[in-house]
Parts: sequence; C-alpha cells; structure tokens
Amino acid sequence: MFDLLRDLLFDYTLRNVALGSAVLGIVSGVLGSFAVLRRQALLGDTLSHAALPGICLAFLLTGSKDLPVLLLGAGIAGWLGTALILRIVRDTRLDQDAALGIVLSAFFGFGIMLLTFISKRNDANQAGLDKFLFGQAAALVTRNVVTLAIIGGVALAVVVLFYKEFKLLAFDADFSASLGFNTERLSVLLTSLIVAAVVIGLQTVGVVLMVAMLIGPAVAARQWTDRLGVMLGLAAFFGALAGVSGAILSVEASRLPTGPMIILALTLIVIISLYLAPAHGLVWDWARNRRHRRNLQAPPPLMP
Amino acid sequence: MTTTPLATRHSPLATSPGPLVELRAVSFGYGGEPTLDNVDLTVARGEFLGLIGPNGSGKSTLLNIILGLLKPTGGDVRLFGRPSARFGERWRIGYVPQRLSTFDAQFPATVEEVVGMGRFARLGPFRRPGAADRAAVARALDWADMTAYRERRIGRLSVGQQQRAFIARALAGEAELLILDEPTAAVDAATQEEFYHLLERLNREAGLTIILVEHDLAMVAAHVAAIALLNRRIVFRGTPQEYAARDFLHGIYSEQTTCAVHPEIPHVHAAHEGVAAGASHSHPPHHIRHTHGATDPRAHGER
Repeated sequence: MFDLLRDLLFDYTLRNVALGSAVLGIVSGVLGSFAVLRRQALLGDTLSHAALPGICLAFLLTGSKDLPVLLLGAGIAGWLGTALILRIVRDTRLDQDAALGIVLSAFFGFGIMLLTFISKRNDANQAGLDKFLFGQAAALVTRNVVTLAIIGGVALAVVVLFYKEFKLLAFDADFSASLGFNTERLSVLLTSLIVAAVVIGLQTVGVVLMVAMLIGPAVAARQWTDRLGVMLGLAAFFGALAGVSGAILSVEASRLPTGPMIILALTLIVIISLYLAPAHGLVWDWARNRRHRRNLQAPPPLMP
Repeated sequence: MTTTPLATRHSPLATSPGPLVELRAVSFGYGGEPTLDNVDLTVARGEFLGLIGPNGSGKSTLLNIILGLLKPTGGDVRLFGRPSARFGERWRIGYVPQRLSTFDAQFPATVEEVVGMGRFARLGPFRRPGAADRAAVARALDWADMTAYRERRIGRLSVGQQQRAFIARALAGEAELLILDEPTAAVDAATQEEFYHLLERLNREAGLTIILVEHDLAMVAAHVAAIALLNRRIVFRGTPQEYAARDFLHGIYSEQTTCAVHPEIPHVHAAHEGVAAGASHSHPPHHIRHTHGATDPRAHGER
C-alpha cells in the first residue's frame, strides 16, 4: 500500500498515467452524465470511432506524432461525424440510431484502412498509432498530461459557466426554448464538449472503449442520488476512481492495456452501484419486495 | 391555503396597457392545406380564455407560434405590445406543457429544482440563483400547494402534482401570461376540480392572464369566462353562453355534445343529440367539415 502511494507520487510513468486517467475520468464523468440524460450516449460512441481517421490523417498530413496535433485531427473528425449524423437525420428518413451506425462504421472502417496504409509505409516514425485503438496510457509523458488537463479544464469551465442552461436543456428542451434560450446553439456547444471528452480519452482508453467512460460513471452516479449537481460530482469521482485504479493495474501489475483495465474497474463500480445504492439498488428492492410479500402473507389474502 | 403575495409584480396595466397576445391574419403551412389560415386572436390582460379546437385544428401550431417556437408563414404576432421577433422577455409567458410530453421521468431533479428552473431565463447568462430567486421559488411552491413535495423527484409525482409543479415553475419566473396545454387530459375529476380552482385563484387574486388549451369544450366551459374556437381559423370568440346559444358545436364536434356552464353565471344549457347534419344550423362554416362525424374527440389522441 505504502509502495503504491510512493509510486503514485514519484514513479514517473505511474504518476503520469494516473493523472491522465483521472483527468479523463472527471471530464467524461461530467459530460457523460449530460450525454446519458439527453439519451445521446451512443453519440459518444460514434464520435470516438469517427476520431480514428482524424488521427491518421493528421499524422499523414503533418508527419508529426505530437499529441496535440493528433488530437486536433481527432476532434475535427469527431465533429464532422456529428454534423453528418445531424444532416442524415434531418435530410433523410433514417432514424438517429441508423445514422449513428452508418457514420460509426464508415468512419471507423476508413480509419482502419488508413492505419493499415500507414503501417505498410515502412516508415520508422509510423509505429504506435494503433495504440489509439485500445489506449496505451503508459506512453503518456508529462507534456501530454498537461495537454489533456488543459482541454479538460476548459471543458469543465464551460460546463460551470453554462450549468443552468445545460440543466434546462437536458431536462426539457422545449421548455428551455419557450423561455427564449437558443437550444440549438446550446446543444451544439454541449456536443462539442463531449467531443473534447472523447479526445481526452483517445490515448488512455482508445476509440473502441471510450463510450464506456461516458456511460459508466453517469449510470453509476445516477443510482446514488436524485439531484443533478450531486450526480455530476459523483460521476466525476467514479470516473477518476476507475481511471486511477485501472491505470495502476495496467502499469504496476501486468502491463495489460490500460483502456480495458480502466473499463473493467468502471464496470465493477457500475455493478456495485446498481446493486447496492440506497433507494435505487436492486438488493434493497429485493429486500423490500420480500418484506412486502411477507406482510401480505400474514393476513388471509383478499383475493384468491 | 396561502396568503403570501405571489411576487413583486409590476402592477398590471402599468407595463403594457394593450393586449398580451395579438394575432393578426396569422397563417401557417407549406403548400397544400394550411394548418392555420388567417387566425385573428386577441387576448387582453386579466382574461381567462379557453382556446378550444379538435385534433388537427392547428392548436398545437398556434401554441408554438405564440411561444416563439415556430414562425408563422404569414401574418403578424405581437406579444405584450411588441412584435414577437423582438419580444425578448419570454419568461413573462409561463408555459405548462402537456403531461410527460417532453421531459424524462427518470431525470434527477427535485420539484424544488424544477420550479427553480423557472427563474433561469430571468437570471441571464453566467449568473447563479440567489436569495431572491429562492424566495420566489418558495412563494411559487406555496401558491401551487406543492411545498410539501419540494424534495420529491419530479418523475415520482402523480400527473396532477406534476401539473402543479409546472405551474409553480411558471409562477417562479413571475410569468404574467400562463399557457396550459391540455393540463387535465389524464387526471381524475376531483383533481381536475382542484386544478381549476387553483387557476381561478391565479386569475382573480394574482391577476394572471390564462390561456387554457383544450380539445374538449365541455371540460372548459364551466370554468372559463371566454372561449375561442379554433379550426384552422377562429370560428368563434365569445362567452360559453353565447356559444351555447349558437349551433356550431354540432358541426365541429360530435352528434352528442353537452355544454355545461359555470354555476355562478346565468345558466344556459345546450345539448345536441343526434341532430342530422346540416339540418338545424343555418350557416355551418364550410371549413369545419374535416372533423365532422367524430363521435369522441378524445378517441383521436394526438400523441
């Protein structure tokens, strides 16, 4: 235990990985809560898959593997994916889920193709782009962590500034519009912040599993409270907890890929919350039902 | 029940002496038959108006136009004396949506938080609610008789309680005009009575102007002082008594429609039973044909 604490503070790799994962957990916990409440969780999945060709193209165009450059490409691609989904839903008869599926697979397929193309170029510099598939937090250097923290900090600051507008939008978009708020612009802003959260997670958990970082903390937090503010705080905490413990497991214990370890830790938190959270937990539900059934059995039943 | 004055309202009439809602020749539609055709409607301050129209009459469209969610394709909309496009103080119109129409019952928000949202538009960007806002929320909860439920999650309320919570939300924003969209569509008779009682008090004691949108005239006639009948255009505007004396009812609604009238107002009771189409009314407006023969307007749920 003491060793672990010492490593967290002084081990260069572990410190960076833990910090990077914590930033990811906090930001995706908060923004994922809004995505889940607005029933847009799968939009996050499409965004993260759509980011892959952006990363590859950014590398092909600049020849640089600098994280900010790649993340910029990812962000732009994710954004284009969103715009495309909105277009498809508006201009065709397809439903949102069909549009999400089309954009997700088209962008991801294109990304995999680019990835293969890059790896066949026999370029010494090319190695490592595939780490964005499942994440490789061990590759994070301090400079990267600072980049992630800046992106995350800006995203969270915007949430704080627009908290009441976002709350209203998530609760009842029509009412919000009837009060004179520009729901379209707010919606675009919120989606952009979700893009930012996805971008932060690309190196740590990768494009394939990123959606779990948006959904998991929100779903777990929702079980413990009926207040949005508390839910956001708890989601940030659960996200950070999963991020740090997953990072420790992958770096310290076994050199397993970071993304899957973080997601497994998160799944554990979700399961515990679903079963044990007071008021919502399945275990308490079960106990309540049992008690009711016993109470009902005591007097003779009114109906056969 | 409650004695606290509702709000530090600017005295009625002081702000805008004219009508709160003024629609002139408002139309809506793209090609084909328009949803709204030349609608003229004026709602004065202090009025308690029942806006009644069968399904497909365009009342949702009209509602959305007044709320600024839709732009009319023709005509003129003025709110509180200003053209709708330049009317920025949208919170002065308190909208109570149809039950469960838009919000998610699982949403993590207490009644108090939802009522607090009524203040958000007044606050302006980047500002957080303060003591004055909390006081307004407490007053609104008190008026709607929802103080006891303020810690309850909004999705766990009964339909009638949710309506009250939404009224409180509009009151918290110090709305001067309350627009309710079929508020009693799914509540029992006793709850309905209580609900109308609250609306009457808000109209009389707090000076709120109220537009009650319903498709069932019988439901509203006993409670409102004035009605406007919509069927793509306003086909009648007046008191329920005047209406009962005329014979439009038959054409728009069913073969069997009863119009019950407020007990305190001179009693006129009109029952239309099985009148052969076109036999008894001299000038049935030809544009109301579309819904002719519907036996129960409620059977054709809009949602």
